[in-house]
Amino acid sequence: MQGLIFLTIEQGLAFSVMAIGVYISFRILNFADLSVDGSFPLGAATAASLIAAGVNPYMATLAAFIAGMAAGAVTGLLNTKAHISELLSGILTMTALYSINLRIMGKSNLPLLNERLIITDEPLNAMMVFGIILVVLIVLLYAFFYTEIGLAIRALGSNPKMLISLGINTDGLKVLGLSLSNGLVALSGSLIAQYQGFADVGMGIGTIVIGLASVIIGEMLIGGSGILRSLISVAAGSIIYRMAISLAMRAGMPPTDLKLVTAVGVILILTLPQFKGIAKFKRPVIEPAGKVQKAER
Amino acid sequence: MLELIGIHKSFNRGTVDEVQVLKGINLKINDGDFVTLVGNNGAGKTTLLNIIAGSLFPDEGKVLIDGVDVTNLPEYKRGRLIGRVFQDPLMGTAPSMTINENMALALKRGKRLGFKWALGGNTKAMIKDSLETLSLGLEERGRAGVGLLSGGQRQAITILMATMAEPKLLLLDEHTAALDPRAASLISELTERIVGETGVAAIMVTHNLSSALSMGNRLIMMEGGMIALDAKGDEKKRLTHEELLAMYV
Ligand SMILES: Nc1ncnc2c1ncn2[C@@H]1O[C@H](COP(=O)(O)OP(=O)(O)O)[C@@H](O)[C@H]1O
Ligand SMILES: [Mg+2]
Repeated sequence: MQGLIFLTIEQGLAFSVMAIGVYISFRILNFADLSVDGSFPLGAATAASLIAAGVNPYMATLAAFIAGMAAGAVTGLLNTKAHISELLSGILTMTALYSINLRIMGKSNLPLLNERLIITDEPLNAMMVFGIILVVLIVLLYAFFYTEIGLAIRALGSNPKMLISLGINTDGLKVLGLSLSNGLVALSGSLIAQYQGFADVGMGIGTIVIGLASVIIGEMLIGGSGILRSLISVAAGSIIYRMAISLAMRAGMPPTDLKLVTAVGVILILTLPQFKGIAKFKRPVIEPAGKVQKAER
Repeated sequence: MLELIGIHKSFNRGTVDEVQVLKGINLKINDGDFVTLVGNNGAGKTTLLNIIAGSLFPDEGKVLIDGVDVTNLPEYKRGRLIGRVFQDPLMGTAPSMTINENMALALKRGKRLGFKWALGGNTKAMIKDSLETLSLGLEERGRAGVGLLSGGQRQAITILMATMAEPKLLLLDEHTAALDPRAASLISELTERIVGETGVAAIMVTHNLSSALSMGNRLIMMEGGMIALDAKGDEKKRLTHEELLAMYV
């Protein structure tokens, strides 16, 4: 039982990096980015093939992050420069990445046998390494979102028209925000590949929904405003999601039903009236008038 | 400072729904001019401001700012020179961010964004000084979320944000129309004071004829996509409420 809890926390930590990526696109940028289903395995494929080729595992993990950033930039450029819709931009990148990931790996499944990784088999090692990575990332992101560029990225998801009238180019900010988001998702993919000992071309299916589930669980259980609090609640949401899943599987849920159950859970949260407001899928750019009326006069 | 030459604009060109909205606007606005712009609904006032700001592009004609042709310059690039306040008080601020954060972005108008702390250095002090001029007590609430403020408070902050980085031109489009009477008169006073103090050239669209007459040094009336009246200086001062009303068709 204890072993299972550790396992679940380790997975949750590694996946929380992905959930933070999804939080950045969906919540901060207000951009429904589906390319993450491709950038997650992209990170796994990049890291696994580099490690298998003898590259230092830390460099390979960093390369995964950079590859993800490039994928996010493509989605951003499709949307801002080619004027393709958000959803379609993400779908195009995701689809193209499927072939790219196969090319990177050379086959559909790449095992990592006896390679040096950023984690070892020692007990608690993965938890420590993933924990340190997560904490460092949260601190860096927290700081980033208080720089001029970070602030502008937050404003982009909140009121893009304001930024334009302030003379700020929103296209570049959107590309940068999506790069960051997909970079984190790919980084998470590389951590999972090292944790489970292989990269698989199909491992990204449902990333977006799992990420959303983590974001929503975190917001429901912890929530609050402020960037730091949000980042922590998303990470916690990811760990809680993993625990719920592992409990459900212990109770007899077949693993093949995982994605169905997750999707149904997200649907329920998004539609049940008592959760509305907490888990608004897409915030309006400006809040409904009710909110202003409630405010002081 | 601003020059419009032969501006034409129509919507839905080449369809049965084609409407000609601007039919050859020629206008020259000098440094320090404060223009009040009036006219019936649908006269083309908002369309004109959108063309000046670059949210819309004219079918024909040119827009010059300080002699430079900006007709095809994208909106965000013109945003470096032009401050705007819209009718909807929610349009000018980012609700999920604090007052300080919104104002910090406004201070960066026309400058490159970098990886410096957005609220570092003397930024907070500058924001506080600026908020103090409003006398609304907002200087003590820099960390409050803008989404929680009233429409009047948000519009007051928007005016500060539109003017604090010294734009060349200020465009106000019925910016008091959505406010209750008290907030509206507060925002009008604030507008007059800020435009007076900064000397920024301004165009203010309003349906309030007394404001149009009492504020600014120049009054322009638009009608059917053309300029029907352009009263400057003494001519504007002599203009009465009745005369103006009689000109509405
Ligand atoms: N995007 C648009 N498409 C079609 N017609 C438009 C559009 N924008 C404005 N119009 C029309 O142009 C005319 C002038 O609008 P507008 O400039 O908003 O007038 P005003 O601000 O003076 O009330 C109106 O008849 C309006 O219906
Ligand atoms: Mg109008």
